[in-house]
Amino acid sequence: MAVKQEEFDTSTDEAASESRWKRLLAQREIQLLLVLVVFTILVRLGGAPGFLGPTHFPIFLSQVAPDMLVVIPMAMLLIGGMFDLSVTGIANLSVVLVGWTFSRLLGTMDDTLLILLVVAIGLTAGLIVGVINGFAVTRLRMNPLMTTLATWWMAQGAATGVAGGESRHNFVGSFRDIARFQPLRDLGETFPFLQEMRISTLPMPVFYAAVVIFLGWLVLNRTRFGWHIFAAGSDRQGAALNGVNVNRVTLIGFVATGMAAAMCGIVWASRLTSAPPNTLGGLELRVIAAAVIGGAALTGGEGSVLGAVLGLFFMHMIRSATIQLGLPVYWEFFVLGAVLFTAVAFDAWSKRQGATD
Amino acid sequence: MGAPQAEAREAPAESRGEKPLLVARNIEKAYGTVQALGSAQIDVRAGEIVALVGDNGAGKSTLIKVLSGAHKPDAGEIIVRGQSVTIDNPNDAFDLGIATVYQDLALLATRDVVANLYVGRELTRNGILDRRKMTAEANQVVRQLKTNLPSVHTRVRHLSGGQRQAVAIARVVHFGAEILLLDEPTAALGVKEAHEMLTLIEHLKEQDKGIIVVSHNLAHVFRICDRITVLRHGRTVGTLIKEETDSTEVVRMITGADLL
Repeated sequence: MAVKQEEFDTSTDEAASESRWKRLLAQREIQLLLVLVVFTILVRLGGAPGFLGPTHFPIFLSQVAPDMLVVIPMAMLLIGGMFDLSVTGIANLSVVLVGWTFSRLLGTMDDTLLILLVVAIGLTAGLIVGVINGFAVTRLRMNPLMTTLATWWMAQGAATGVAGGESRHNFVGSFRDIARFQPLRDLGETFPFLQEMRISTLPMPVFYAAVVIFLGWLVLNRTRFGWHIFAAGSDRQGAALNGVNVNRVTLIGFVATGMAAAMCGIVWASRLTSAPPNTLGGLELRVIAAAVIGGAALTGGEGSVLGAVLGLFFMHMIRSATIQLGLPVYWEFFVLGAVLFTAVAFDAWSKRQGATD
Repeated sequence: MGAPQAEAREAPAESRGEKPLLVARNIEKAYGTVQALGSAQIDVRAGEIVALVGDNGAGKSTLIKVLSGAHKPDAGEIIVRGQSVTIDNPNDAFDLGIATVYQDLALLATRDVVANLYVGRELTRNGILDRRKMTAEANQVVRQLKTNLPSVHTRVRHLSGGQRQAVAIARVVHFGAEILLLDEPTAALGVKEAHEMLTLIEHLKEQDKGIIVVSHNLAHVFRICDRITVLRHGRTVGTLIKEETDSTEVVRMITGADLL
């Protein structure tokens, strides 16, 4: 009897640990992480041994960072059941406003003050478009897709209009520190291993991105507001019936996304030290696709910050691998499209199987 | 034996010397020219299950909506714990401890049981979600109701119809509902699940809730309820004590056919 009992116990233990593995493997983030590891190994074996190696990785991070600022709030917006195409327009408008403000006010005030003013003006543009988006969708009950398509064009048009065919580049010199300053540089001199691992050369945008990722994770998973985002996206009416202020969730989501896009523009202006109105292209689809690859559902209620981070990594890894492997860059979009197609098809498949959890 | 004298057979809780949790008297409600409720009466005590039965269009749903604050009555009186009250909206009902569980449950399919129990009323500590406490309390609520769920971290999407209903009921009970209005709780369920749901409703009764159940299924009604209130054409034609009646009589009152 006792033996039998023991046997029984081990078998259930095994079953439990097996199902734990299964559950772990059913997590989108884990699946994606495995895909990224396999992809990296394949690229390294396929002719780019330095891919994501110690030299490449810090560069890779600083390339991903500006998009990362936008993908986090975009993922949260998607989880809340919304959608924002206008981010590219906002980012470009913010770039142009930076250039325009510098060209008008350079020399009229203290440099630091001017930089603060420039950043404030850029962020305000994002704030305004975000409020317009949020107001249109919540109060006027306009469709988010068409609304943000319209505000995208308006913001982009305003960018080219203000630029007036010029790309301004007479900036305050220290403005470039917003994108180029390396906060750990001095630390690298004290701790050589930081230098060896090239951590000490990481520029500011990587740290902005880290802060945004942490804040996004904290808000989404550890605050009532985060659970309200999920609730609003899962069942807007049901959430409202239970006292969730779904309009507030949506409005804040649009404002955060708009301001993040503006910050992305400011970082680009600083990196380029010039302000062309077409600095960013395809940002909206890049971040939306990244969030979806990371498990965010266009129907809302699902997704995660970690998934969005990994999804964006994947998008940039494909781009980076195309270049490093010497493949024709013209095919990059084909590969990105195929990856997105696969991700969405996989979603549909696992939903039919009821296997995602 | 002649036609049953429904009024003479009425058995309101008051007349039996126990104080009812909720009494609704002479409730009237018209939608335009359609008189949905003429003179509806119902009452329920703590630890009692009252079935509300009637043919389609008899006014069962309307009466439930009036009691839950979704619709305002044109006339009539609602008394909760001895106090005359007005219920203008679902929040008023909630404050009075009245909760309704509708057939379409307003649950969040992509969220787990814990998130569903606490949606809109999440617990926090220093501004951060107290997930440990919510999980512990959710486990306790689920255990109390003796419902069987795989885990409180299962997403509602993966639960059966009966389990979902249990979550919906657990939610209102956890937030202090003492008067439960259940709209067709077994209609969408299979045999086994319906049985589990009835058992759950009986557990609620043991916990001294006052429960009004709308149901078409007389077998279910007779299994769990103490009294049966019959509506016909928006009027309460009678309230019967289960032990003193049978389904033939109830059907006769529902249809209004004086067959014998």
